[in-house]
Amino acid sequence: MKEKYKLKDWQDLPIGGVVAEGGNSADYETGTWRTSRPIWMEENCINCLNCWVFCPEDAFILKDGTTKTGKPRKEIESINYYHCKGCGLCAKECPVNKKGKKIAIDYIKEEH
Amino acid sequence: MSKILAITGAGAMSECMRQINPDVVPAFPITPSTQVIEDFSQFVADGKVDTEMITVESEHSAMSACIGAAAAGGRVMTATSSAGMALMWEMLHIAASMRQPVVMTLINRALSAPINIHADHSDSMGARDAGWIQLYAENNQEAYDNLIMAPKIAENMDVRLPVMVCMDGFIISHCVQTMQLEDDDKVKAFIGEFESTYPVLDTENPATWGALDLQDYYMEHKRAQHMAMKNAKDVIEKVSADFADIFGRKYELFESYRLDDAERVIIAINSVCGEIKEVIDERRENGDKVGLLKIRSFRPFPYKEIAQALAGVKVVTVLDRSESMGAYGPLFVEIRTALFDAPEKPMVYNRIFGLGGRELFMSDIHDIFEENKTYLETGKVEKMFDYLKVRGG
Amino acid sequence: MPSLQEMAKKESAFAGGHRMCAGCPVPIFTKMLTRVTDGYEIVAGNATCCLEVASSIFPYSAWKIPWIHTAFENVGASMSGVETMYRALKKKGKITKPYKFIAIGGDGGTYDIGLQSLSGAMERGHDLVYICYDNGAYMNTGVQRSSATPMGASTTTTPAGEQSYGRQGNRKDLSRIMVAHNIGYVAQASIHDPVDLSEKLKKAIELDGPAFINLLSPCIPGWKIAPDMAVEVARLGVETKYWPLYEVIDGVYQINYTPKKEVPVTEWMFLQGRFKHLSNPKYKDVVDAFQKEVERNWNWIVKQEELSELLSGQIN
Repeated sequence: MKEKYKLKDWQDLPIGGVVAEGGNSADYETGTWRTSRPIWMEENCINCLNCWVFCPEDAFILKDGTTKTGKPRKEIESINYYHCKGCGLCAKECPVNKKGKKIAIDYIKEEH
Repeated sequence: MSKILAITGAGAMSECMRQINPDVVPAFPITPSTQVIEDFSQFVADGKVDTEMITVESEHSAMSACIGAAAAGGRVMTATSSAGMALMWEMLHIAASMRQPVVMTLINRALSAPINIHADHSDSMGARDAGWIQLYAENNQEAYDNLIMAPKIAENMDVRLPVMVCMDGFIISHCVQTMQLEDDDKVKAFIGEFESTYPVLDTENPATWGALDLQDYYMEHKRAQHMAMKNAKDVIEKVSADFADIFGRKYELFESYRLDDAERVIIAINSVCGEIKEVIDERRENGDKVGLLKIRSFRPFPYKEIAQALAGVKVVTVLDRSESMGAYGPLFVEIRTALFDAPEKPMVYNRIFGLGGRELFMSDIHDIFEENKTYLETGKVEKMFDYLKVRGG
Repeated sequence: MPSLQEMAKKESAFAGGHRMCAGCPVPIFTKMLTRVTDGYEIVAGNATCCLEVASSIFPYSAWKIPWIHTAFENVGASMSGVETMYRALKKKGKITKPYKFIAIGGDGGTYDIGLQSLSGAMERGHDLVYICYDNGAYMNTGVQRSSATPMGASTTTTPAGEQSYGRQGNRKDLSRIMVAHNIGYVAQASIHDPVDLSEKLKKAIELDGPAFINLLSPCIPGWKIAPDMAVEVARLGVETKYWPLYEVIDGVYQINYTPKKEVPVTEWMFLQGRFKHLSNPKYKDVVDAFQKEVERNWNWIVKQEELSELLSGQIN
């Protein structure tokens, strides 16, 4: 745990229970909740971004890329397993998976 | 220009709100505080203030909107009474715990049932643990002066707590009294600019207000809030001293009226203190050593200072204008606590009076002093607790 | 219509590391709040609910935009306060940027305990988008029925049992109540269709004045579905016409999606454990009544759309 999240004395807390740094839950690990994990298969991915838009943990990391015709676009780079809770929604909603010929997001039991 | 004028207590509060010119006023009408927001609405309509009003659909929403508006980053005021404040209940605590310096006029009125629109203190006394600073006033002038001081107390960075400025329903809110209305610019200058803390409208530094505390943080937040209320005592004294320097009227945490050599003392809150002073003056002319201790700040409660002020007093009659069923009156409990460590404890007893606006005449106050005279002579309190002026005894 | 590619260029309003259940679809829309419009500062407020609790466990917060929660029944009012302070400070020149305000509540905090403050906020005309994520029960406190709970659902306060088939009677139609407020924008959306949702969010945010979006949002433990099923179940909610997607703009109804084929509502119901008991043939009447209510509601909206066309023709 980062130093700034160590328990503080009452004198050292900001007023009124405010969390002064919005979005700092990114520092909190929820990856430990996983019992299964999605595996992104770049070679089969069509970059539709369905997994990205549906992911409740905002765990799909994007990068800048281009389409075949050279137009700039956002593409999947990786999965942030620090946050991924392993719900499997990405694999379930993946259109490549749905077609049934290839797998773009595999979903496997977590090994502990 | 400062001027003397004849005005109702409610009118005085709306005039003061006009002078303060808060950014936002969420309000909902309830007798007897309605005139405060009616008059203020007229000021808005006439362009005498640039306040944005929110004519909410309930008092719960009034206080919710007060908290939202204050957290957004500006000065917020409202007014209510009785059931209105009871409906705010949940939000009173939240306003205080979120440390929002909301200022509210509370025109004290009895709580239902039976429904009754007249003065007693069951509304504010019920809210005494809500975390609000509570200032009480004997008359229009004091209520007006308290309201001028309230934003400065509430917004002080060592305090940041909401303040309710209380006065008796009808007896003060609806009665015309003369008072000194201070110069607008002088009032504005006294109050100064609002400073915000982690304002919700700061999108550059997005803050999260109203997070969930679990067992690991709740007590620390409460402890910090306790400290703020403790600080409020000094800040009330400091702001009152500054007020006296500028406007000439001097206020303490409580008023000591002819206490110096008093043997028998009444302790009371709000308008009844006017009659008590009259009676004391009459009795003093006959050499009777009686006095009054009038509470101004009930939260924070000045225990030590009151104990010191009562040194040498032999009998204390505490008048409570509200009930705590199955217990003593709320003021009595505080006074007894204050006196527990006093080297020479006076006799202290409790009388409930004036519920739902029941009058207490000067003759009744004479009766109180006659009764506590007997207690002094016999050295014994006959009745610790009793009702005054109730049929059937 | 903001495409996923366009939305992907903008930063999310909502960070990971929150404590919503695995597979809870609610963050699908909270992530989106800053991704559908340009040029506005976005500020959000929350009623007490799962989202509120799980997104703000001190000292952590998932909210990358300013956010305030005060209580359960009052987000309409508390956000009225925030929005009004914005107008007050803007008038005084203390703020210059354009802001937009979002209030969020679950169905408990919106259909039930918060209905009054929602109604007040909408009626007064605050520039406020209210989003109700409807998961059909008080999920935060452990799946107690709300007035949004569908008929027959087993909840912890309307459990199915020997003498009961679960929640009795039909749910409240809050969207229609909001239409009756004569506000500029009311819509029903579903968490399974992010493009439709983003378009509705955009319209609601860009409108000057109050707007209301009722968002179907399945609950993993409350509906007793697998953690990867929320989107699929929401999709079937729409395909079976349980949850019609429509907009009402200035009183004019428009259906946004008409299912291609008739799918019986049981296809949706029996994906969920909360309706499992109704598969017993003795509850055929209940299931039939449910189907009938779904059809009645759909037909009512179709008629409203026809009526809207008729009236707008006459008025114009």
